[in-house]
Amino acid sequence: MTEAETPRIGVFICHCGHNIAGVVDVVRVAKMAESLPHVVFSTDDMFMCADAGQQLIKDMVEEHSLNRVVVASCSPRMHEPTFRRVVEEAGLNRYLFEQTNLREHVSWCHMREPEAATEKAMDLVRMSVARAAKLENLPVKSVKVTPRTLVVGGGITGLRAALDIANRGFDVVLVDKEPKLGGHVAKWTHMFTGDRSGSEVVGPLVKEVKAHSRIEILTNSSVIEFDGYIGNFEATIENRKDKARSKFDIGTVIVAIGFDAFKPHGYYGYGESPDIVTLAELQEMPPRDRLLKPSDGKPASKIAFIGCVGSREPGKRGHEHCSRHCCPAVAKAASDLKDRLDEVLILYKSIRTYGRGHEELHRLARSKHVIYSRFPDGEDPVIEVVDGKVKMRWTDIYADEELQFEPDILVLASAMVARSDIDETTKLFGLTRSRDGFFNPEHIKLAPLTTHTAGVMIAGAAQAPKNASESVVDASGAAAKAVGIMARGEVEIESTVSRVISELCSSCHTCVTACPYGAIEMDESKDPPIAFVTEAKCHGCGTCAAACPSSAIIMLHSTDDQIMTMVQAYLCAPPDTIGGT
Amino acid sequence: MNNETHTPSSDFAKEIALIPGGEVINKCIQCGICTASCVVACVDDQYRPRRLIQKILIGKRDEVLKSDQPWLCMTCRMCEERCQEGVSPAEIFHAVRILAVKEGHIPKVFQITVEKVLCDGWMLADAYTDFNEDEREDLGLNPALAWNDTFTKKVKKKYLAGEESA
Amino acid sequence: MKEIMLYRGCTTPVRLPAYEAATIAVLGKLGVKVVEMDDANCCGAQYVESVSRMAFAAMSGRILALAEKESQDILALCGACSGSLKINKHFLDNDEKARKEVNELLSEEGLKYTGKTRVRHLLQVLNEDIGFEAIEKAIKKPYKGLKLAAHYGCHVTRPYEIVQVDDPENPTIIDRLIEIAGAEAVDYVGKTRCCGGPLLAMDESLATHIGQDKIRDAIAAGAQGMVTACVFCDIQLTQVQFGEDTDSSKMIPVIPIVQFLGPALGIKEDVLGIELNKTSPDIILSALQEAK
Repeated sequence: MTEAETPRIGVFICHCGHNIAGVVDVVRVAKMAESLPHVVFSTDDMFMCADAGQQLIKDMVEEHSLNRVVVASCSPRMHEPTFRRVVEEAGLNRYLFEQTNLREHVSWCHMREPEAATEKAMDLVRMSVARAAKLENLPVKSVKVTPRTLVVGGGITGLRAALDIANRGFDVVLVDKEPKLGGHVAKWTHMFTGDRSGSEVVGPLVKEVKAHSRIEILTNSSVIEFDGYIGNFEATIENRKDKARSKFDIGTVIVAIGFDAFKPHGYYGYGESPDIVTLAELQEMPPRDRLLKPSDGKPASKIAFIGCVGSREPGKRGHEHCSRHCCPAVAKAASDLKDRLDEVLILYKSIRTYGRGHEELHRLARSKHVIYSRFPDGEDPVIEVVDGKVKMRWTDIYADEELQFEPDILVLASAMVARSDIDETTKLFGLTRSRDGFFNPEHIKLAPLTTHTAGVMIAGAAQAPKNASESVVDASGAAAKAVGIMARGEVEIESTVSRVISELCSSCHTCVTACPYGAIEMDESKDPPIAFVTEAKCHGCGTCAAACPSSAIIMLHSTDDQIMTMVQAYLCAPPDTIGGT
Repeated sequence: MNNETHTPSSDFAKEIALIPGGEVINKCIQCGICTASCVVACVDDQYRPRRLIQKILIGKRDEVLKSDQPWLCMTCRMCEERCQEGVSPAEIFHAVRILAVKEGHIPKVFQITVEKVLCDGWMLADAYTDFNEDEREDLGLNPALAWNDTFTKKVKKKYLAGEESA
Repeated sequence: MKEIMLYRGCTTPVRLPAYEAATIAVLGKLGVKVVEMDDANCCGAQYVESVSRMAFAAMSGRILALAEKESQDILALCGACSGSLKINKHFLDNDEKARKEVNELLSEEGLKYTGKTRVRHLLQVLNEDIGFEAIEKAIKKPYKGLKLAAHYGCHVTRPYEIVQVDDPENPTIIDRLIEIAGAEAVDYVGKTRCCGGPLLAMDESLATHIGQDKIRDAIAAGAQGMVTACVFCDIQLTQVQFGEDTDSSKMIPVIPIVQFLGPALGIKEDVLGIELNKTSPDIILSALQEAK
């Protein structure tokens, strides 16, 4: 704080209609605030966030030459950005604004104790005012954004995202470790719900991508190095064949690496006979008029499917989830194949034909006399391969019958699992994964395609098991997020970050290890090396400051002083009319 | 293969689907609402419409046709009213009965009553006594009931000759 | 006066002739003349129905043709008969091959089925042809302080798409008639459940169990009696209250709708045959108020 500037604090207590005022005596709180140190103006108002409330702040800043504003209202998660903008419009630095939460932290949780709630409100306002006096100007920084997106994965998700971004006028670098684009979909003979093959569906996308002038394609390649921060990443891509490396400046990233089709060794005799295949393997068989047995090439006349193979197994990490795409895919496959076969059986635990056109597929299969047979939880069908023949035994729980069947082909609808090399990708891009093995989004409902690494998006089956149509939805959503960042050309970064006091740094590297976002490095150009924070990567969590044994790191906008003054204001009765701390 | 375990087949369901009443058997998704609504299932814990339909769908032809179960349905149609898929277990069991009769399986009481109805023209010829006649007269009703048995005999000849077996 | 041709069915004339008499009297009072059907046969419900689709269609078809010959609609008092006639009418109206085959049989006696005849269950005649307003006007001696449960019968109300009598899950015709006559209609658990009658042939004890459950549920809801609209249901719900394991002190009167309406309309009890009822109707009759 500049020596000359004495804090002139304005306090605005919000009624929030009945939400706060119904429990807290806001008038009394506003009155009490008048006597707090450095407060030159205090009032209460119906809705501070409304146009009238915002105007009131601006007017009072001018009228009373306020240089600090405290609004006691809802949670900062609601309106901190709103009020910061108002304060800025009134001519003050946005970090000279302090919000007290009288709603979520007081009126909404102490509804039946208005007296005690009012006391608590007064305590909280007293603490906020004390802190406000210690707040400082912080510079508002932006970083430039490179107008180029790195799309990792050239399956249907990556292809759609790349096209969406390129069509908006931005460059794309599309990387895939396989020799060809198209991912899993390109290998499948038929999709659901329509009747086209996978390559018919994804082929046109591949063609368009290849023809697009803004998309640079690197197949047979992987990202081996990745560094930087939002808008300013640097990626190194290596060709797996000739080891040639290329470096790119990248503004945003979309990770769309897809899934692995689980090979269920140990389940239902998989691997003991070539006639026991996964649904993915069935989908990859070349299309023919007759369905042929893999073992001897003879035409099949009866087949069976088993659902939930390697999915929905509580306690088995990575296999606890439902793989979502299989029930409709099995219904479609069964329905198509029944026309050419005598008998088709589907053994299931559940039928989850949830999406558009799926239930119709289920009914179509049944109308063709596909037999659906449910087996009990915990009593899986027993499969044996005897003399090259696949023999099945199970209990049909609804008919209450022991059944047996010798299918020519047994199809296991096995799980969609996370890619075997997902660990490397996770570390490379600073992502996290959930228990099921797939990437964690920033927020499961409100921000499903962004991550905690600003500028890096996730999409498609890598984000969670889903079918091709749903993956395409993700792709366009992630592309929109990427374009949103790049279109502005620059992005503001928060100033509530950590800062190293170089003179105090003892080069212990503790903060480097402690930072969850990899935002701290040692500046080797100094001797001894000094810790250095890349502000664009910093999320302001405070872990480094807490860990530093030399107290060499401060958190801007949450300094020790600012925090301790709140504690003191709470514990020690405020000095009376004299004022000052 | 074990002789006691059944091998599923869709043939029986296809057969039932050809009989009036059985056409939509394959729409059954085994949800169970029929059995939950069934009054007979409430009092007889062996009677389960859903189970009987699944037995048809997996092809247990012999067991179903020889069973008493399809004959226990009261045709109250609560299942039909509640089924969300448009299936009527009551109608399916009618279709099963018709097929069962063709193969010589019919509960004695049904066989006897059918005989009676078709020979006498109505069900209670034996039960209509002088006492009943008097009762009707006292009430001002016509004691002569004038039932026609010629037509029912024709019906028997045309549709049920040799159908009700011993 | 409107006319309608009565199809008696097998059971009513023998087991519950009072129901027939009361129907004729009540409908007559409300402006509908009931005429006799001559030379009828069994409708084929339940038994023939289970052994041959065409035999069933032929038997019901003949009854429909008999009424058609006299240009009359059919009144059915029994739920099973009403259901059979309607279902077979629907079948014959929509299946040309079946209709042709049945007409071939009927032609030998100069009968023909073209579908002109409508089948009306008693409740339809009361609700649609006569109407609640007219019935209300005709009430002379209303009931008071009486709680009754309505039992509609399965074949009367289901399958709705074909029989179209009343809401299959929440029927109200009998309830409204109860209220019009001044009594209180009581809702009870399992109101739309079957009486158990059709199961008598295969398993009498189960059937009795089902019927007794119904009576118990009605009593639990505070009903003092039960009003029926099907001869079979009436006989069944009466019968299950007698027997070795029943408590005669817990018996409630079971009464067809027309025997309930009759006294309220001012019709004498002996015309309605109430003295023939197996369950004592005293509690109902004693709730009758004097003429208004």
